[in-house]
Amino acid sequence: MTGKQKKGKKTMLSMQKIRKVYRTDLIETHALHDISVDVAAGEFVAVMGRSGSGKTTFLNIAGLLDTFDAGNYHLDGQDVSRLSDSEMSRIRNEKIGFIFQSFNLIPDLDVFDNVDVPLRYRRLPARERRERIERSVEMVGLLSRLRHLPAQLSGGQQQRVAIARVLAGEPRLILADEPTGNLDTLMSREVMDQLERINESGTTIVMVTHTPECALRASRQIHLLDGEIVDLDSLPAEGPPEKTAASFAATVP
Amino acid sequence: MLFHNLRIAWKSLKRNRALSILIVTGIALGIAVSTTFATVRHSFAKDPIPTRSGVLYYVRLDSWDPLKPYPGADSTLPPTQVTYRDMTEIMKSDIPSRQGGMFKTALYVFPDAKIGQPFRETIRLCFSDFFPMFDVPFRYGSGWDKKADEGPEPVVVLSDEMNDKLFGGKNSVGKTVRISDRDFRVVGVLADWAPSVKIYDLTQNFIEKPEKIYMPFNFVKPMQLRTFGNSDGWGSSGGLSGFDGFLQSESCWIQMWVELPDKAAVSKYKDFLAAYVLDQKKHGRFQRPVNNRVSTVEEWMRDQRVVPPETTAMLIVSLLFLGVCAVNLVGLLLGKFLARSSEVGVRRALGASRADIFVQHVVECELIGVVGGAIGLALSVGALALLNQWLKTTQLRGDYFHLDIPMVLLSVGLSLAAGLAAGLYPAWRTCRLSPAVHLSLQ
Amino acid sequence: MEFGPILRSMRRNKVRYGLIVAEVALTLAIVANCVNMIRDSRRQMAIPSGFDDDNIIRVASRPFAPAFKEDGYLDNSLRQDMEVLRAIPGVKAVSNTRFLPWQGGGSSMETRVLGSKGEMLRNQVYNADEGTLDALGARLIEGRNFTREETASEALRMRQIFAKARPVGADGTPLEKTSQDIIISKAFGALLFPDGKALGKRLEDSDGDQYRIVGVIDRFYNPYGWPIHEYVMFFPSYSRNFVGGAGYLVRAEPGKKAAVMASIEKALVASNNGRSVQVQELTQIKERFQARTALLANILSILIVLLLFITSLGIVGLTVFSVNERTRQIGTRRALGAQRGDILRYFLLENWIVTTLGLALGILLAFGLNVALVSKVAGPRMEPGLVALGVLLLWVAGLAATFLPALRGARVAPAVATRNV
Repeated sequence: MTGKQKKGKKTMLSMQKIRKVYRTDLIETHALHDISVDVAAGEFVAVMGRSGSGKTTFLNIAGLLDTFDAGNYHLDGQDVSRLSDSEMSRIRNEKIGFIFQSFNLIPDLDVFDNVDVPLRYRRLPARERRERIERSVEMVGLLSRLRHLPAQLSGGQQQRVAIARVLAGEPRLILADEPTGNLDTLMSREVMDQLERINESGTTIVMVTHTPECALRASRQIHLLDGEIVDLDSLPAEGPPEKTAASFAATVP
Repeated sequence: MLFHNLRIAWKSLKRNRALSILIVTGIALGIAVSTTFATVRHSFAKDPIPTRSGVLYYVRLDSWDPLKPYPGADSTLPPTQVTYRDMTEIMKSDIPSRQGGMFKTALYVFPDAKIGQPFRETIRLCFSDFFPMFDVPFRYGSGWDKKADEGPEPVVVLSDEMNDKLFGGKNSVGKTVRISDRDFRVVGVLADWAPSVKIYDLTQNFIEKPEKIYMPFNFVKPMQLRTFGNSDGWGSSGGLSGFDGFLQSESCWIQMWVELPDKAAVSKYKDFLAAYVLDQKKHGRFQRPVNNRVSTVEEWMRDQRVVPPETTAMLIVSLLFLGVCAVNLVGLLLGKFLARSSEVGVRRALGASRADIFVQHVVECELIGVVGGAIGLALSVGALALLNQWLKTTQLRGDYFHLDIPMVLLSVGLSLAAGLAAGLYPAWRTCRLSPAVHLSLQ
Repeated sequence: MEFGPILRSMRRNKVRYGLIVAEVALTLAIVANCVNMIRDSRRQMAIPSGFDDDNIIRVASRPFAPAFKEDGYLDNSLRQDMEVLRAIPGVKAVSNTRFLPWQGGGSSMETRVLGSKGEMLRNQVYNADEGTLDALGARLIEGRNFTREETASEALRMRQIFAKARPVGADGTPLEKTSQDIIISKAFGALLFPDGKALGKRLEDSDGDQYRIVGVIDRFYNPYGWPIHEYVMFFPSYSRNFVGGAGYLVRAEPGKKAAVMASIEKALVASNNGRSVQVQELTQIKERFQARTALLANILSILIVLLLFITSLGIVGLTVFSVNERTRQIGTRRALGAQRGDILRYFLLENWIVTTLGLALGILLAFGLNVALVSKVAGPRMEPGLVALGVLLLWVAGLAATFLPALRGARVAPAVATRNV
């Protein structure tokens, strides 16, 4: 487990000295301190850290959900540092798939329609959308539930629908935010198995988690602490961080 | 995509029924009220005779008292009708392609004893040109000819209602009707005819239905007929009394119409009237400044204030009402849209652009506008039916207000405009929501 | 005490609160103007005619038998009709006159004070007999009423004079002037003689024919196309002819109207069936005349109710929104020791501020809209009292609309603060 990237592969995600500062009238909070991260195509990376360490900010920026104040970000070889809102929307739609802790299915759309949402925004023809939806829902084993509403599914099933939604889009990169955070152990395992299978088929996955079990499934772990990437080896294994005051201020709003 | 957005919007409406009912009710009330009053006003204001209004002109001459103008809201206007003397003189002109004075009276009709008692009926006296001038539709026969005007020949035209009453609806052309003290031969029976306002006579109640019997004007003398309308007069009787005195007096009681085919004819006719008035001045009449009017249908309707001012006031109030509904809607939609920030966040994360989100929400607002508008339109049909009911009790006519195509289009337009006006800001606010904030904290 | 924080919070949500301010302002403007129009209508409708409207019946006899073309026959039939009508039990007075109150018009002429050379003034003019004032319930305040003999002889005299052409002089008016005695209304007398002494004075018309004022009645109001509603002159005569028929006013004793009405037609037709008879109550004629005004007032009232409903919905919506958004904040406040009343008061105060701002703007709008309506369409000037009433009404409506949602807010449990959303 080293902080170095695997060699000989194309870089999927490359961040150089990314800085994110939240400003209010009174306080200026550094959420990310000039962090640099590289993720190779096909990697499965876990991002770890305590609450307030900057994990979510990192994920928002990686997913082009949020902008940053300094640094450079290349995604799949393309400079995505200074894109317009609609260009970012297009990249999210075509290259990135999101999996959320709380699944974020749209409550009044059934399984089919939920998986359909990103495909619609890609303006795909109806026949192709249907094929993709059925294929991806089948992959997560929920084909019999195609016309069920999210409320009629268990948590694990909902998360599998969310995964199907990702699969249907055939993204280059999957960003998962605590994908098992709301699930029990058994269901967690199922979801992680699914993610592993997806990774094995070649899709890059970056997963934010604070569960060591999940993190261990990934091929590499990155640790965030107070908005910085820390070299795990230089820290005491269990000890609390010393910059107590700073971490308090870094609570993401 | 539009269809998809409509489906999303429909689901969204169904999600929170209580709120949706509030929202739709608001817009429906606004549309109902504004459509109703726009229609009420339109019923008065629209062109009652679009096929003929381009060539028909109403004639007025200022034969009034030199000492003061004809009384009325607008003192620059001449009397609303012409005197008998002036009508007979100006009808000698051959400039109009058709022309004629007219008035309303009431006489006893003596039906066949089998049908019933004698009854009094309002009757219009007019010239043969009346029927083609006002595009009067016939079921049987036709109007009378110029020769019948001259005689006058005892001929009548009946409305279909009168024909139903007197002859059981059969073709009665050639049959005889006894009116007052003489027999008249039926030459024509009208088909159903009810112009929106009784355009040929705006001097009295102009929303009543046309008269049921028409006879040649020149019976006025032999039958000594008096008008059942205004006969405003002034000045000395000149010693004359009785019926001849009335005909020779300055009483204004005849509605005078001419048909002028083109602009040249209009200006020629105006010159003719001016010359007539100047000639009359030499004989001591028309001592006021020359003030002749050859008015189009539209001008004549405006001068007679056919559109009641309160209907205009009501229209203004009802449009403001719709404005309040729209403002109200902005607030409700803002609340509704912002309450689902997280859903918008998900969509944004899945690749929806701001434009996608904006369009989705505008479509939802328009759907609300259309649904509310449809309900509003239905409500206004009901409201207009109630107004017609009221009109029937006071005016004996229960078909006056109805939605026509322009009003339905207006209603649809208002619905869409209200939906758009109310939806633009909330949709804009919603599409500007940052996707990140509403995901991370769910 | 909480003004500061509330105002600061409102500043951060300008649009949302601004909308309610605009809505309240528009509502006040519309409500005040509608109420103003309603009051104007009601005022118009409340003007008394000065007559015993409730007990008056109008009877129209319309002859068709040719015999009615003869003067003698007409006179006989008129006399007979009056006797038949007087004989009906419950009838208090009977009159033959062309005058019919509340029909929305009548007949008019022009006169001026004899020898004044002044402007000719327009007034309503109707024939009357000895029973007319009694049938109307009009009160004579000066002079005398006409007598039956006078009516009959005057009718005959004038008919003879006007039967043929009258020789005219150089000025085009008849050489020989007529003179008739007349009864006028007090208001017409005051118009002609500002000193108030009309009795015994003479008027003339454009032919130079003269009219001597022998009686003055207290009150007369009959809506007319021209502004001469209160000016009238009655002259003694009968009114009957073949074309127009004859019109009667019958005044029933209080409570007997229905019975009298029921027997009139039968009684008259029984005495002469060469005509048709139409019987109407004056109240019905009045109702029909006022129908449009009444309808307008009713429609405006409905509009006001709908408008208040819509605006209340808007306020309810805002408060619900406001409460939902602050559930956690309310919980925190409760956890910090706020009472339910404090929370309730917070929302009520917030909405009161919004409503009041809207009302302030609405007062300006109300007067502005009124100026626009008066100048562009028609209608009465705005009464400031009505705006004040509207302000009160909307204050109450605003607080009422806030109350339930705010109460819901006040019920938020303090535990919400610690719940991990």
